[in-house]
Amino acid sequence: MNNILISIIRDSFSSATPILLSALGGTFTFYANVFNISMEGMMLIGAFFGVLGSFYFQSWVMGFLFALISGVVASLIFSLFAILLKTDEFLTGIGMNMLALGGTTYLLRNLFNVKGAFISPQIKSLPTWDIPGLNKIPVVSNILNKHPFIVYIAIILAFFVDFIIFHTKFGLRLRATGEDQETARSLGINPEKIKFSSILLSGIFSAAAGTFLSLGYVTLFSENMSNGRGWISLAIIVLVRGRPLGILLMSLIFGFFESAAFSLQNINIPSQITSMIPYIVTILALFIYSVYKEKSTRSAKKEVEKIKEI
Amino acid sequence: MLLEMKEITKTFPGVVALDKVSFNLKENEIHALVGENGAGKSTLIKILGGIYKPDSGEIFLNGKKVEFNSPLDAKRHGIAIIHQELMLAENLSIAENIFLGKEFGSPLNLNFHKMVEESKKYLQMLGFEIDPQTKVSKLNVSEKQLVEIAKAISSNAKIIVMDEPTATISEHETQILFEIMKELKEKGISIIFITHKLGEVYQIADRVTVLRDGKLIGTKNIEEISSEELVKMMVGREIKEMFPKYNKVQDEIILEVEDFEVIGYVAPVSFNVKKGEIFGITGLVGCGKSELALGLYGVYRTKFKKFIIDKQPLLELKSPQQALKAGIVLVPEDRKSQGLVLLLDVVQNITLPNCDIFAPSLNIKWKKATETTKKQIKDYNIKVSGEHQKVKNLSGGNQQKVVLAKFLLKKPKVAILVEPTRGIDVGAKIEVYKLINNLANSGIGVILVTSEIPEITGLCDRVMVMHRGKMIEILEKGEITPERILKAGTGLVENV
Repeated sequence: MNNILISIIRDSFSSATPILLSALGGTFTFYANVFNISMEGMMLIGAFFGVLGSFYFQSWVMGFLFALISGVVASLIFSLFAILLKTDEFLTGIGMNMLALGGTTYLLRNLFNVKGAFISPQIKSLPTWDIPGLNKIPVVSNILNKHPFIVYIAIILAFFVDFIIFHTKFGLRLRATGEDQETARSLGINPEKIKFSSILLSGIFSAAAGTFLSLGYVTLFSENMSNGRGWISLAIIVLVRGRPLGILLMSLIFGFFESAAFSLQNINIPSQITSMIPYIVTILALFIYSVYKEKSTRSAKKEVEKIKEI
Repeated sequence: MLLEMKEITKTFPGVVALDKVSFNLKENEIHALVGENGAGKSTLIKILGGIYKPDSGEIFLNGKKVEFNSPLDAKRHGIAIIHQELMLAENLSIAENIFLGKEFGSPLNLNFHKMVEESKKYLQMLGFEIDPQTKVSKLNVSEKQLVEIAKAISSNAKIIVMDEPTATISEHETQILFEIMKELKEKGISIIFITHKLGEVYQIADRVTVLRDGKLIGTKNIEEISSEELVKMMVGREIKEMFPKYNKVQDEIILEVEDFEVIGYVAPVSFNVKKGEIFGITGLVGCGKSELALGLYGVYRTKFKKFIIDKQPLLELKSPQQALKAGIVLVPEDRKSQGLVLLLDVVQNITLPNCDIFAPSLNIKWKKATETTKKQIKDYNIKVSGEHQKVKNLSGGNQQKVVLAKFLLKKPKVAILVEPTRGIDVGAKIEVYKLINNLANSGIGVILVTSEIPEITGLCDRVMVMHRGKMIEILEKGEITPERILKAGTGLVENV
């Protein structure tokens, strides 16, 4: 029993990582007030190109590099439409997500001649880290040690992103741009540039999340393997209003329920039901949050609505 | 001379916004810029602020010719503009707003401590005691203005332009602002102050420049000009041909209210409107005239002692539905967002609020609706390619006529028109005025809420002038002159 609990907690870190990474990327676009829903698609693209690079060069480094480049290219496409051509951000996001799903599936079938999933010993997975000192502590070591290195980096990144957004010049200008684009412009800040940077960062982070999925969590690519994680990350961003440390916490909670759901499959509960658990938790969290928010703003809202009605 | 703008001309498609206007500003001066809506004040300011480029004309700063290609350019030359719509990021702190774009510290590690300390310094200069880490969204309008001023002095502005800063703040706050303006003046900052309130011009300005219809009327030292002369400079134009007036006021009273209060906006007022009368309500921005109109239409919470419409007393007025039922219609100020569905055609727009007429049972009788619409189009002289033209493609004047047509189909007893001629051209205005006359002559009591003084003098039989949520006086037929209205509306006349 104890072992099961330890493995659930251990797995929750792996389950949390892709969501954490793509949510951290999305938090940049959140603050820049870019309506970016394309994390899902960018994650999928990253997952595919990670496998592609790793397979052809038989090196995880090349896989990682391929994934990051694909993330950059995907965000360039997004920016071309959303910023340069000023198309609707939401529609552009839908387009990106559909392009990612269709495109990776097509490439999978064409390049590797397989349907469903591509598995090969030539795909090299991400290395794990054996943290010196940690391996001597019994239970903690079982939980925290020897994860793929991205897991640790993602957690460090949560603190780093928090620092960037709240303590650097870029962060301040990012928030100002999202708050009021014209005010920022009047002070000599180029809002388009800021928005572009945020989309770029989001693309890179989401692609890294995808690499973790296909080269860390498992070592294969399967169709639609991002499986809604980009949407969950979007929900988390909105839920915690973009706070990176809040994102870290929520991702871990979500990760815990996801891995718990996996374990529950062993005790005769239909897998369809158990795999609903993390999503039910998300909906519950959204519900609790909105009730709380409703309470705190009810009085202020009334006034505003009265004026709006006119 | 600190600033000279020489013979500035700016045209927009179809309009000459500024016609060879010259303007200058001395050092240590507060210079008031006045004129009616559309006089060209804001265009002039936008040119000074680098938002527009003039078609011709030159700008000199300290005798040197300058050209502004962007707002940032103007800012670099020490010109700060405080727009009516304040340019602040609401969810950032005061300090962050002040130093945005000129932050202290290295890009990777901002020196927030120093920004807060410096902000404190600037805020103290303005006598504003507050923690600079407070979010701007927590401040009220006058406090936000102070943050804007702090922003301006922190970037070494030599000229601060304030676009109607007193329009949205209280009397007390206005006095505080004036103290600050005087101190800034002593510190060597010159201020261009745009206002509609003539009382304020005399209180604070050293010189005043009047614009009218895009032309410079004159610049005067404040001691040299009486308020009567100033009003004349602002208003003077041929009024008779623009305002057709042929309504016949009947003796019968159609609407009478006593101690009618719009809670939180307008102090109790009493007045009556006769059949066939055009009753004006006017005053400056923020005087409460639109709130009073919306109150009469049941949008705001109200209290009253008496509310008699066509001899029927009304016991309560809590919603527009009740107002409509009692026979009051309101033609709203913003026809595009409040009056029309732009993507629907004329028939559909006219049918929409009149479903009780056209759809007595479940389905809409489109044939009847179309016929009625055709008649309305003819009656109100609406220029359309056909009754199924989309409203979006009509001119502003014709859109306004559609709005009037659809409300008047309800056969109201009292029609409240809020700024019915805003944003439409002169020809269409005259047609709307004729329509208003016809309305009155059909036995309706017309309440015309407007800030255009010529409309009042040209059309109204009586007019209520308001100031800061209070009724100042009701002017009778012979007393309606621009001078009287401005004097009452700017608070030069206190309650009579």
